[in-house]
Amino acid sequence: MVGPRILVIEDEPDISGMLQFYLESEGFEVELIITGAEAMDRLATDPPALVILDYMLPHHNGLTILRQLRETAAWVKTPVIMLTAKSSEHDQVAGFDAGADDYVVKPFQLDSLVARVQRLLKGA
Amino acid sequence: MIGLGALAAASVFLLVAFALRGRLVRQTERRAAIEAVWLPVMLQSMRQEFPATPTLRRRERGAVLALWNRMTAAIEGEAVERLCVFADRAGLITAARALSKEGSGEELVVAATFLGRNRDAAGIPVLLDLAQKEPVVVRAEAARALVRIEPEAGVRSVVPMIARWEDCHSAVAVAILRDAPSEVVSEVVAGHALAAQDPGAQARLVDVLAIIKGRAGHAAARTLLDRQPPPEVASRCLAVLREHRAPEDAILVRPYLKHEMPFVRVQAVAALARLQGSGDVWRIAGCLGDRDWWVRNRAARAVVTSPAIARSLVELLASVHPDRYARGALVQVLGEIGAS
Repeated sequence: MVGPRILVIEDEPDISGMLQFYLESEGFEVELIITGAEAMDRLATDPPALVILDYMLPHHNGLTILRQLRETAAWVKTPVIMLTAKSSEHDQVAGFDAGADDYVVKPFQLDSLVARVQRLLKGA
Repeated sequence: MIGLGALAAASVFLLVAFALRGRLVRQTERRAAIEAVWLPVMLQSMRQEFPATPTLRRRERGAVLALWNRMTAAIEGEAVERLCVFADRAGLITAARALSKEGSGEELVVAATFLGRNRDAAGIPVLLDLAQKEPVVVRAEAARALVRIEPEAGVRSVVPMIARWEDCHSAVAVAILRDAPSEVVSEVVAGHALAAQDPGAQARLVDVLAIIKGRAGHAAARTLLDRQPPPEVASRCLAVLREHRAPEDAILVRPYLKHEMPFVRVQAVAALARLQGSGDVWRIAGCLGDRDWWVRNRAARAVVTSPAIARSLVELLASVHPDRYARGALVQVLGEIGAS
């Protein structure tokens, strides 16, 4: 049986590949998206249980996608984890202000990220 | 004849371009094929599943080590520890040591990064050798690896190298030292800055102190300023004092408002403006008529933004100052930022 579907919006293939392997090993279904535009299309057609969102993406940045997500009634409660190399307090506050449920800074611990995903899905 | 010559040149250019593109495509395909074998195995090893490791061919070393480096760049914790165990089992450590002796420029960087991330203490002699090579990117990565493997000992061996490297920007130097405790870095860099005989090396080290902002660096900058160092060192020491914002430093900074070199006077004005000592704003105002535009401009900015002088007084000064250059500097800065 396949678990909840997670949308990973990340333009670095090494990171998205690792996330896919790790999350699928934990029983989640994982879909990988590279660009912001592609992400918005995918969210509209088939909303996931949770989104892992990179901050810096080609064309749209992660914050823009997150704000659009939170302005759409159907996605207001979809849990979003921001995954980013931007570690400053200012960036973290901006992420939470835009509606992120959690904020993970690269380099990150894979086991800890999986635990955060599980916690958010329990609360959703 | 010219037409034939141009045609021949264009043909040669196209042939070279196609050959280069073909080579790039083959390299990309070869790399993808290597990763298709090694990536799943590395991923499995991160989950504590130790699969049978593929045989590492000599020509695959660079690509496999680069893949390992990219994977460990994004993550930390137990998954990295498991990748280190995997690296040992798969013979990657031996491969990296060999590559660091015989690889090309890019391969040397890959090998140095790998040895540093793997914290391979046995690789220190190899890295010390790499830290002497050209170009600077190889030296810098080897130095960073040395600091990663043994932070305190690494700093002590790397700082004298950084002092010698004229082509190493201070931001690169700080990145090299990033994995060591900041107070240790500050102490070692400060010690070498105080002992340096060459003004260029001394200036480079003080540049690093200005970025890392440690206590030992602050003390060293004070000591150096007291010794009236060469202008390039003095200006950087003033930048260190500016970052530390200790009001008691004002007494050391004030004499440099009269320094013969304008780039030193600019730094003195900037430092004194940040320290905000009592009465110093009027000393800075004394630089409004300086012969150098940058000093006048920096002094005008300090005066206009100082909380110690009412805006009405600044505006009055801009209209009645006896020096027309001072008036010009004030009017310009008031126009730029005064209205806000």
